[in-house]
This record gives sequence, C-alpha cells and structure tokens, in this order.
Amino acid sequence: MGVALRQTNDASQIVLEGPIDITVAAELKTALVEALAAATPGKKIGVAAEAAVSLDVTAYQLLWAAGREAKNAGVAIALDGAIPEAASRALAEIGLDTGALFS
Amino acid sequence: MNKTIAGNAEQFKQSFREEAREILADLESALLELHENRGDKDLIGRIFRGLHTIKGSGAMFGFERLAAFVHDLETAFDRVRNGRIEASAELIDVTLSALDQIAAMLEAAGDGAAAADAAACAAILEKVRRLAAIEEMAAPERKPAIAPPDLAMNAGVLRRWRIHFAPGPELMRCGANPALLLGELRTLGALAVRASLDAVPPLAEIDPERCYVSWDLELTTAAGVEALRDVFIFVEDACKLEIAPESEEAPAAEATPVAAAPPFSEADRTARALEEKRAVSPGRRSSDKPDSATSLRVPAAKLDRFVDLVGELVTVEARLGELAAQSGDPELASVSEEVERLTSALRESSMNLRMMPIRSTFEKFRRLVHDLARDLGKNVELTIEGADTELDKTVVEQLGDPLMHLIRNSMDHGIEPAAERATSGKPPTATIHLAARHAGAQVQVSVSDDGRGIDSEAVRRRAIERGLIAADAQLTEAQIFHLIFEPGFSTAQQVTDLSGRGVGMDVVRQKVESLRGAVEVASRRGEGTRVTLELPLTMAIIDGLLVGVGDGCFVLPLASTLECIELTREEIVRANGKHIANVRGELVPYLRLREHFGLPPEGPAIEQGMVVETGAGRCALVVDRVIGNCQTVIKSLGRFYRHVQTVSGATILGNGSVALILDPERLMQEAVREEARNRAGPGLNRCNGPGKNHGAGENRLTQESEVQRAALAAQGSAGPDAGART
Repeated sequence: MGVALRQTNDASQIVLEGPIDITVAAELKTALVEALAAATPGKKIGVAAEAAVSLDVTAYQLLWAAGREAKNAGVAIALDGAIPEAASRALAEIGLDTGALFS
Repeated sequence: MNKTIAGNAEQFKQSFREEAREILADLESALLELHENRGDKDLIGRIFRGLHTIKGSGAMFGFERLAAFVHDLETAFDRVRNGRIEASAELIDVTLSALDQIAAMLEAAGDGAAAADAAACAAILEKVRRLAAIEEMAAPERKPAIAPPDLAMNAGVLRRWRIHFAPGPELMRCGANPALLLGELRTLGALAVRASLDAVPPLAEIDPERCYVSWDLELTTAAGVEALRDVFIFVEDACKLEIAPESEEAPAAEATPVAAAPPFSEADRTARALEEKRAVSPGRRSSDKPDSATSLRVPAAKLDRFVDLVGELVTVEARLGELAAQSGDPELASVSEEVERLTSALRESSMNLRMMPIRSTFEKFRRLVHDLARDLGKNVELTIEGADTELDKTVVEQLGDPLMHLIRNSMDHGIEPAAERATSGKPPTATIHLAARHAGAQVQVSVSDDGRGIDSEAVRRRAIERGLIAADAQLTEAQIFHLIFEPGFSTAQQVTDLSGRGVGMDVVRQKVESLRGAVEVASRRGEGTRVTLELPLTMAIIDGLLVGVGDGCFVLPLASTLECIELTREEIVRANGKHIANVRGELVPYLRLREHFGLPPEGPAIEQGMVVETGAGRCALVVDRVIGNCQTVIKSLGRFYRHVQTVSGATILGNGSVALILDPERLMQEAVREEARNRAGPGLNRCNGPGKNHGAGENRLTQESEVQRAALAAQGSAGPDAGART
C-alpha cells in the first residue's frame, strides 16, 4: 500500500497502490523528485497506478507537475497501465482529467 | 503512510470536538436568546449554521451517527428560517435537550452513538419531526451524512450561480476535501466544473499537503445563496470563495436535469467573467490570500507546561541574580540584569496567555437558569455584566461549581414564587445578575438576585440550634450571613432537588478559598441578596516584596502594597500596645508580624511598616526589614497546611530557601478577630505572646506555627519539602 519507487538502468517506475491521497502525498513527491533527478536520456519514468484505489487532488497535482517538468526537460514519463475507472471518474467529477496528466 | 498525517486523524477528531463544544455553547446561548426574541432572524440563522457545521464537520471526521442525529434538527431550523414553521418554545426546548445528547456523543469514542441515550434521542427526533412537519424517516440511508438542504422550501425559479472556490493553504490539512464539497454542491443542482492548475508550483516547491487547484463552477439550482454558502460553511475561513448570480431560468418543475450540465464552454465563459470581476491576475490566488486565522488553538496541558517552565526560569533567574550580587563581577551583574528583564517580560507574556474571559463560564448558566425556572415554575431572567473580564484560566475553570451552587440557591430559596412577588409589589419576572469586574489585583465576581433576601434571624436561630454560636453571641449582620457557609448549614424547610442540604454554600467557600479568594455576602430582607467572590487575577506567578521577620523571609504581594513607612522602637513603645501609626495625619492600624508569629517582641531599632489596602481599609504589616522586589512563583503548601488561612502559598528563593507568601487581607481579618476576642475577655490577645490563646484561634495559631517552623527549617537547606514543591 502506498508509494514505491523502483529504479533500473533503463527506467524508473513509481508504483501506486491503495488510496493515494494526502496521507501519502509526501512520499509520492519524494518518489517523483527522485525519479526526475535520476532521469537520463533514454531512461523513461513509468507510473503504475493500476492498483491505486483512488487519487485525490494532492496526488493529481503532484503527478501533473511532474509531467510538466518531464516535458520541459525532455524526459519521457507515462502511465504504466490505466488508472482504475472509479479513480478517474472521481477526479473527472472535480474537473481533473487523468488523460491530461502526461500529455 | 505519512505518519504525521496518520497521527493527525485523531488530532482532527479532537479539533472537531473542541470546535463543536464551542459551537454547542453558542447554540445554547442562541437558543435561549431566541426564546426571548422568537422572530430574530439573525439568531435563527446562527442556530441553523451551527447545526449545519456540526453535521457537516461531524460527518467529515467520522461522527456519522452524530451527523445523522443533527440532520433533522438542521432541517427544522432551515424551515424556521424559511418562515415555514415558527420557533416555538417546544422546538427550542427539544433542541436544547438535543444539544445535551450531541455533547455526550462528542465526548465518546468512535462515532459517539454509544454515549447518547438512544431512547432520549429517538424521542427528541420524533418531537422535532412532529414540530417541523418532517416526514418519518424509515431507513437510515434517508439521513445522509451530508444531505441537501430543504430544497422544497426554495422550489420555484432556477438560478444560475458562478462560484469561484480556491482552497487556502490549510484547507486540506484541517481534514477538508474539495471533492466532498463539490459533491455536496452537486446535490443542489446541475454543476459544471472547471479546475485550474495555474497555481501549481514547480514539483520541488510543492507542499504535498496543500491544494493548489482552484475551481470555477457554474451551478443551476433552485436553492438560495445561503444554501450555497452553507456548503462551504465549515471551510469558509480556509478558502477563497466568491458566489455571484448569473441569471434566472425556468421554474423548478421544468428544471434541467442534473446530468444535463451546461457545456464546458459556458463554464469557461463564467470563469472569465469571474476573472474580470475579481480583476486579479491568475496564478496563486489562494496563496496570496492572507491567512484569516488570527488565533491558534493550543492544548491547555501545553500551556500549563510552558507556564511551569517559565516559573522554573524565574526561580533560576533569582538564583543567578543572587550569585551575581555575591560575585561583585560587573559583567556578570549586567548579564544577570538582562536575564531578569527578559524573564520578567516572558513571565508577563506567559501570564497573559493564561488569561481568558469569563464569558464562557457565565454563558453556560443561561441554560441552567432557563431549565430551573421551567422546573420551579418561576419567571427568572439572567442578566450578565462584564463577561469580557479576563482572569486566570485555572480560576475561570474552577468558578463553574461555586457559581452553579450560588445560582441554584438563588433560584430555589432566594427568588419567590410569582404570587409572592406580586404580593410584595415586585415584577413577576425575577432577575439574577451575574457580574465580573477587575478591582486592583483581584477580580470580583458576583451573583445577585432580587428575591426575598436572607432572614438573618432565621440564620441566627439555626446556628444556635446547631451549636455553631452561643445563644448570647453578639454578631454583626455580616458575621451572621457568613454562617451560611458553614458545612451542612441550611435554613431550608425542605430539601429539594436543587438545594437545602446545606452542602452547596460550603462548597462555594471551600472552592473560593482554594483559589486564594474570599466570599462576601450582602442581603436586605425583601430586596435581594448579593454574593461576591473576590478572586486573584493570577494563580501562578506574582510580583512580590520580600521582607524579613526574625530569621525568616516572607513575601507580600506587591499589588496590594501601597507604601513603606518606618516605625522606631520608641514609637512602638509609645503606642502602648494600640498598634496605630500616624501616616501623614491618617491613623493607620498595624500588625507586627514579629508578635503575630510569636517571636520575641524585641525587634530592630527601626521596623518597616508595609501599608496595604484591604477590604477593611488601609493598614500596615510591620516587618523587621525589607529585602526587595522579587518575582514569586507560587507553590502550593499541600494538603497538610490547607487550613492555614493567612498564608497563600510558598516560593523558592534564589538561595534555594523557602519563603511563605502572606495574605495581607487574611492577616488583617485574623488580627481584627483576635482584637475582638481580646476585648471580649483576658488572655485572648495573641500579640501578647504565644501560649495564651483559647478557642477557635488556637488551632489556627498552632497550624501557623507549624508553617513557620517548616519555613525556618527549610532555610539553608537545599530545597523545600515535597509539600512545598507541589
């Protein structure tokens, strides 16, 4: 449950599991900052959110900010698998589009 | 999981409990005011908002049963504020009863349901539904934790509202969730949502526990602006909120269904309009908003710990001052003076932190008077004066019991039944007046009524029957009134639920004396009674004047010391035992502590008289020498010395020894009593030396001598005994 960062030579993967909300937001930020810091040309960042039960606004804004910085730095960041439908729908209800996270 | 946040869950609950207690107190006060002013819309709105906040916040923090219980009450007052039903006395009373159940739910663990009286809750809800014409709710799911307000009341014209909602820095941290708020808005009508991420800073700068997203919303609803604001009622201090009407639409019967929200482009247009209206550049709007919180809630235990530490610092500072003086090192003396200055400022600040207005204690008696008046069938109005008077937290907290006993006593024995009042030509509604005011270093809190007054003859007869006084005792009226504070004393013909057992007034005196205060009674037959509690402003640290008597050191509270006069041995001898000094033409009685404490009467050639102001007027306490000012951390003397009236505590001096803190008021009272005994018969004057005392004064002397011995024994030792440290 929570946030885990897995690093290999070729990729960084952030695995999200359970409710991803304010209680784990600090961990998510640390993982994203570390993944971006470790980014090198050709090394991509993946966010695996299939096991995330829900994402709240604090989680969304961290992922969105990471996507913006990755784009500016030319680092590839993408979802590894889909965000569960219920979590996406809950975010959509408050105007946050998961499709726009890393676009 | 972030441990801080996880740990905060219980903290949030605790914060909610504290906030809810304040809201309950305000609700109680508002309901009682509404009782007198039934049509007051401000009061009705205040009650509705209070109930709504408790319900909404309760649901948010896991008190779901509580929230469900409050739901119908909220609906009832929504109907009152919409003019559909009246704020009847019955509704007010049942709501007051409901507050008691809510308070019980709050104090309990879990969602609080177990603590409440289920049968009472059911009866309350049944009554509320009947009074407010709310349909019976069969299933629990009919009572959502966060339910839409009574839309039926507002049915009619649909309006489109533009709402800008930007959470402030603390919104998420205090447990609120924007998604829930938007969800609640959605229950009111068709909602179009546009989130703005413009204010999200670079990743490294993001505070992960803060919401940077803001929302521009467009809501089409039949609900009024109050209903919209109510959604945000418990986060209004933690967000930026703007609500503006856009247009009126078709009647509700033809309303657009919720699913058919306006197109997103509409919402964009709304957002742009709002932007123009605000004339504020986009970006970190929420962060730019100054934090509206101007106070901080701190647990009382933390405050007590802080004041304790300041007390310890004051003691160490005194020691440093003494060492600096002994060393003769000017640099050390300079540092010591600076530390003294800072410690003094810190002490002042910390004492101010402990000061709180007596309002909360006063206000809770509105309910007591309301309930007792109903039970006794009497018309009584409670008036309050000086509720903003501040005094020490400990005093405020402990005043509740004595004031309750005094009010119950007034209601039961003082206030006459309406028929008796009519016969006496008094108005049918009796008055109980609670007042507080500062008087020097003290606060006077009084309870007065316009009832029948105290029958001093009846008190005297009862006191003789109980053997408290001799049948031929000559007592002033004030002394007779004081007999009502004797344990078990009562003139009541009947013991009632309220009073008559003679316990209450004894409790009043004990409690007030434990606070280093005093009780005064004034009464006039047929006109009423006033009981005044005189209490110290502070309980922890005071400015004192260190004086020496014999080998001992004592502290006099500086606040009660007016000036210092010199008395030569010749003047004392010339006075021929009359103990009167001439101070610039004014005759001031004095008490030689050397004699009072039973020390050898021969003192220094010139003694110092500390002129103090007491309730009986100016008088002087004569000591051998004045040592100087000192900040005095008051330590309790413990249970063993609790009967010693003339000493209010002890303090630890810079050299580690103990000095007793004298109570000038009590010392003079004691001296006056002894003088009276002296006049009454030979051998009663303590000032002539120890061992000649009889009667009630003897026990006190023995105890004081024990205190004196304890203090003297402690001098020169490393520290006080355990009792002095408590």
